Amino acid sequence: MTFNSYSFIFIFLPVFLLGIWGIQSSFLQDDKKGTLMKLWLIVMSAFFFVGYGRFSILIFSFSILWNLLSGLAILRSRGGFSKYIKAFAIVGDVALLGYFKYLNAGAMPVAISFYTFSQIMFIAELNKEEGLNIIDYLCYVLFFPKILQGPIADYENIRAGIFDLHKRKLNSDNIAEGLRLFTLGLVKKVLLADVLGKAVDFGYQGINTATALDALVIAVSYSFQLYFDFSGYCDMAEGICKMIGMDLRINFDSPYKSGNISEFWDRWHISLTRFFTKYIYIPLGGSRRGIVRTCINIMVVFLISGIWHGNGWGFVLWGCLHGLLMVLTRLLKGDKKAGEAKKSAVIDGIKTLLTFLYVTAAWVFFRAPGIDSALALLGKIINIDAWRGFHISIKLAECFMVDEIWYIFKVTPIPRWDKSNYICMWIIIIISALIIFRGDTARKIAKKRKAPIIYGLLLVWGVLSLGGVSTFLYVNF
Amino acid sequence: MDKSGGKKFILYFFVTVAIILILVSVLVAYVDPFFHYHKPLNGFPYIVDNQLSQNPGMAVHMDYDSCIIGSSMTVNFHTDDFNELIGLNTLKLSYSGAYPRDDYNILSIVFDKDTYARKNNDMKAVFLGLDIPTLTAETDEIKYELPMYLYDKNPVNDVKYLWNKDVLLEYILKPVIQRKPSNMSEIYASWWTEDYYNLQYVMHGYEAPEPVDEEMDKELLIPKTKENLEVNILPFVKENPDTVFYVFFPPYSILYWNNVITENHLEATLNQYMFAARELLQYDNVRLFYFQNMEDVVTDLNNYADYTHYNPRINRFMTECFADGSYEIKSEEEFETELSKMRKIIENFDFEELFSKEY
Repeated sequence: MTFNSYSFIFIFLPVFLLGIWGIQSSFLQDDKKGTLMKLWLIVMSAFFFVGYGRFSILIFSFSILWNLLSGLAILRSRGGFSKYIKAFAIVGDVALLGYFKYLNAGAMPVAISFYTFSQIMFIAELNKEEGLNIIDYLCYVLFFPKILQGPIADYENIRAGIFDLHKRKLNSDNIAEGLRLFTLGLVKKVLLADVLGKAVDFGYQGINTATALDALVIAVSYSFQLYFDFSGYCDMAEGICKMIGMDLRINFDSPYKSGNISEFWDRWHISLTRFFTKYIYIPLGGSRRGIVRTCINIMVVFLISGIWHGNGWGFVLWGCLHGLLMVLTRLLKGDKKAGEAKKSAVIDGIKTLLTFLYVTAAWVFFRAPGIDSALALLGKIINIDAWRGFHISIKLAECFMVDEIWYIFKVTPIPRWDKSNYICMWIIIIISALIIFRGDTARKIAKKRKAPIIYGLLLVWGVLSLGGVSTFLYVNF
Repeated sequence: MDKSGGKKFILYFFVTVAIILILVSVLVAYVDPFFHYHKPLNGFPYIVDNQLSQNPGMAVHMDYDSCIIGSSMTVNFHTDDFNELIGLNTLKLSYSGAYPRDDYNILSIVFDKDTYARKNNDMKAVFLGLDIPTLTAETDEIKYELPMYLYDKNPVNDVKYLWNKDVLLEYILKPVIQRKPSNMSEIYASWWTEDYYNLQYVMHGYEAPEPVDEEMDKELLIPKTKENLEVNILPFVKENPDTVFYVFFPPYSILYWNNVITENHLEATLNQYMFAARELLQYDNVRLFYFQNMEDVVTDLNNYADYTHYNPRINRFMTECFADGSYEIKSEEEFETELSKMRKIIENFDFEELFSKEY
């Protein structure tokens, strides 16, 4: 089941919410309410995952069992032996992920990358003083709003979030804000990410015949697609949590507005950056052991990030490209925090544009079927000769033609119908760019803009567009 | 925001959502472009171009007494020809690339006695194009994932049909604007201009398979073929003795046979044909047609758009044969003779010359 499905929106989500609100409003004793709330979260989250098939359930169950048993062993161990068990458990988690991601040519268990990191955090944070509550652990690892694409929340964060969930009162403001966030997320996914995705899929299938401008449109469209796909999911997850009175940690914060790569990683997949910082960068010594070691540590982190994201040299290169720019930024800026040296709107704009272009170029290695194809696409963009004619293929432009705009064109006196595909393409790209670079985050919009009829229309528009839309991209990682 | 603001938002939000979704549902159910709920409205310019989505509804709610079943080998039939030549009101229910299970799925609906279609018309005839290569598929294998909400009887999942932008825009709004309804006689037709049918076009797109050294065991294809016939085709033949099943082997071009030879399974394939024919000929309500040894047709690639798909003229010719009995096989012996002719055509054809030229 995914957030962008009829069954989720019209069956699962209402049942889940009614259950939560029912427990919150019940007259049971506090401790019974608390237990019931956790059991409800576990049952519904398990049900959410069941649709992904026996194979994914089996592997997830194995991972849960492994970490649960490891956790119990850690608590029962004596002296300093627990750290060896922790290391062994984490090696087991990494081995499971590594096997399915890099050694097994068959299907990938759904969400394994995300829950493996959650399991690692659980094991790493486990201590004898606090003990292990199996129900709390299952709530943490199964919690459905984060299971597919994160955030990779730490154990304590989720535990704190659900700890007094049963005590919260039904709050119409929270529900309204959650509905707005969920609606905005759905719209981003089905009305923007999936339309851009169609052009991206087409473009990457025909790199050899693409013109220079085609190549640029394809590369930028993929950056936009990833943005709307991932931020759409995060908004929907946040919206669901908001409706039950829980604040999910921010995982995505207008990353393409960043003025440098360091700031970008403070805004893109924030929980992943936090995970790598806490469990790889800092244990390696972070920035405490001199500049050379710092640079090596940064490269190691991004190399692992690349490997985590996918199987193939393209992902490794993508990680290296980000690592390299991070290192360069660190060398030039020292330890100054990103965004501190804002000078003027023009300079900030140029920095944002250059960061976006670099990130976009790196995404090409992320998306292209191979490094050759990625280089071919980038080669077309930087080859000055290829820019002669400034031409976009009609077939590529056609991918952007959505029915809604087609009908508007039909009743509008647009004089040159042979250009309507191009007009539609530019409309979608410009609207996307405005939302990404100039717009507020969905979080802010949901707080500020409250017109219920507009949101109602947007939700219906999103629902009507569900048929045939693709899955979320980050589910594959 | 005060509390009442939140409540007001929730109320207006859900009222808006509910009103629009109800209106959309009523509109889709009323027009019903996939014929899921009722027969076509008089005067609405329906567009019929989606086999997976529209075939089940048509099978349930159209007025017809015979149907065309099969793969893309059947899409270029004109149902008007069946009316003109055989006097049947025929409905085309093809699935491009159909596997036997696809045939089974749609035939199950066709022969469902509880449907509007069966309550109003008996099934007089089924015209079934049998693609021998597909009979080695798994018995439950289908070519494309089906939109099950249009195939099952679960009303809950109908929301995927009722609340669907494509249905609303492509199959309700667009037909209203364009006023160009599909011609039901020609629905699903492909490669419909003459330009597609020429030697250069066929040879340019043709890619021979990798040669196989070891010859396939003659009996290898039989078990799966038997299973597919028994599970997916013959039950309908047995259970509906009053329906005539016109089963035909479509006339693939000589390039198809080149593939068979190159992959080294000519004997196994001919044996598979023989087995299938023997099975089918056991039933009085089966009329079997073998068109593959129409030498003038299959050896002239100007009749084809690729190595298997033939010109709609051939479809018309086959319909004439259904009417007058030409190319009909009535016994195993006759079929053996026809296969011998086929073998001779293959043996005598100059493949070397065909492949020696540039296209």
